Amino acid sequence: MEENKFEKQVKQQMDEFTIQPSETVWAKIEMQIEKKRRRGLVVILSFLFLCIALPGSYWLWNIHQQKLVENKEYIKDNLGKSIDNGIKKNEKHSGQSKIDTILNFAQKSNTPVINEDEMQNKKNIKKFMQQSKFSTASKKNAGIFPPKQSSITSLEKEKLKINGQIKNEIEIQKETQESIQKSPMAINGPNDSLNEKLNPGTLLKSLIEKNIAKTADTLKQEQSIPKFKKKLPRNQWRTGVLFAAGLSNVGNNFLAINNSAYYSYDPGFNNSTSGGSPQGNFYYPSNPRHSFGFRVGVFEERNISPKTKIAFGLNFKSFRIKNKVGNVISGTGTSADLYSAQNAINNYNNYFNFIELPVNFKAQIGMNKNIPLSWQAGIVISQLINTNALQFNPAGYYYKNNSLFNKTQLGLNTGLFATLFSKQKNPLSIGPFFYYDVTHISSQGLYNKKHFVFTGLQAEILFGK
Amino acid sequence: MDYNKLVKDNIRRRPGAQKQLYEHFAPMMLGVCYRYTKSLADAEDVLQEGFVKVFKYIHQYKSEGELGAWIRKIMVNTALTYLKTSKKYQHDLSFTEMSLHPVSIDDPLIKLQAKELSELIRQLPTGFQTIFNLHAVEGYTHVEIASMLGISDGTSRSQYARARALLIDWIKKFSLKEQTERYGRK
Repeated sequence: MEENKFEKQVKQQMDEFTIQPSETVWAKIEMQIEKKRRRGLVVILSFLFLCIALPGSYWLWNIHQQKLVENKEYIKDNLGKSIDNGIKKNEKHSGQSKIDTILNFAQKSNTPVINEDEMQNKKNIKKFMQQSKFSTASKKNAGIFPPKQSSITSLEKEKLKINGQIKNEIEIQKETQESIQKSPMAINGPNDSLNEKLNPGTLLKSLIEKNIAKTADTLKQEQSIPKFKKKLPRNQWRTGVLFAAGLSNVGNNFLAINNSAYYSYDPGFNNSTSGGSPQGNFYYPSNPRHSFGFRVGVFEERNISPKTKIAFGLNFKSFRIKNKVGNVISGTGTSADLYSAQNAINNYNNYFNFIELPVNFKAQIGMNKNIPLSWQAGIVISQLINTNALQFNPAGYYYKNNSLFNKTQLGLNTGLFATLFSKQKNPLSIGPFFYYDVTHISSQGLYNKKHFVFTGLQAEILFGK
Repeated sequence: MDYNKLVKDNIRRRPGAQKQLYEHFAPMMLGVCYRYTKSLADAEDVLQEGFVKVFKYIHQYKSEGELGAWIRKIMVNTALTYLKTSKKYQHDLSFTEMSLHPVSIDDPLIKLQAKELSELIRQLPTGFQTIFNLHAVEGYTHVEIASMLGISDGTSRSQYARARALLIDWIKKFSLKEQTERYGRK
């Protein structure tokens, strides 16, 4: 009684005690709040940026790939046609248009002139162009279209090859001319038939004709090969990567609707929505709440029928569960492992990291060929590799004890995916994903008879078409 | 003052609501923080941290309890965290179990001003000061204090008994000194 009297007096006095804080305190509080708000904004903006930039860059990359394939096909088709048409026309016009085409192309080239030989080469080409009887209109009539700018690379290689050969030929020609000039025949006067043979135009013409014929043959062969390559063998394995992000939770049933905290051997605590308040000598734990979870991994898949696939994989997944704890209890030697249940206002992130081996079946739904839909279902065996999850003691504290967890888990998953860029080399499948752990997380303690549930968005990219 | 409206305004982040809440509770809360620390600057630091937490978690406040008590709880917890993490106080906050000190029957009638009593409490060693504040002023049981500070409830009891005895002794001396100063030696 006496003790209470003294304490009452102290409490009464202290409850009335007030001090006016200095003005700087509010300014500091405002600044701190603003800083936290900005930090939050930066995190949100960064996340949004990633959400836009990653799919955006993937989309651009795919478009680029698509253009390359289109250009390749365009070159093959049109150049093949042009050469065929050119050959036909040349039969009428003594092969001039083929030569003209190549020379015209060579003239348009912006390859830098690096030495005298090349200059000479160009001069010869110009000269031949002037001698040519065929106009640009006739070239157009011959069905020769200029290739797209981006498709020039392969043609340029061909052109450089021809130029090299022309150069060699001109050198030989020079040497021959020199030897002829020295010979008695050259002194006696020009011989028309020999001059005609040694004319650079004639030499070029024969050389270019040979090359065009060669190129046409090669292109025809190339065109015929992909027809066999395009057919993908049904049982070919393809590798892919996946990433899923979403919310992980724990609960006593399928959708984790009832996720109230339950302590398996506490005889009489009262479940409530918030944690930490004492009920006699017992405390009750705070309710676990959902938090961010993700899975990332690689998989191999193959067709088992035209519309079904089987996939095996190796993933890393991290599930997180939030609960409220009080202050860290210090002075125990393992201070970070013990948290008070009193005044539980601090968020604690319990993470569970797993390695998992999923086996999935995928079936195509519907007939949409541009964006095919597929349904996926499978089983997953996962192994807990590490966790920082807290257990609860009704004496009023949280502690760590990983031996209470079932290390090996069996789960089921399902998802519905839409495949974007399905005709491309690296199609992207994206869609909602749901995972449910069939086995209990633990048989006692805070996670007694609870299951993991994960709901999120999964993206998969396939490689190696 | 309509606390429910004030809380709602704070949750909706209405302009001026945070300052209104701060201005209403800051003097009382600084008094709380002052009792746990050794200087006014430290008390203001605790007050600042405490109010940042209040604004962060205001949506979790349930109107069943008194708003002032809820804020006070946050301030006390912030003060304890500050004492545990601050280098100045960390060393002073080590507790050793002492033999139980007999409770004095001859309790003085406190004729001191709140400020004077508060100053005397602050003169106690940090460990004594913390446990005395938690038990005598905030009304926590020794089991609760043990859980909050990570000590045994026996240590909390013995530390409190010592702190109480020391404080009573100082109150008596202070009263005697004041009486002598006012009326001269008998």
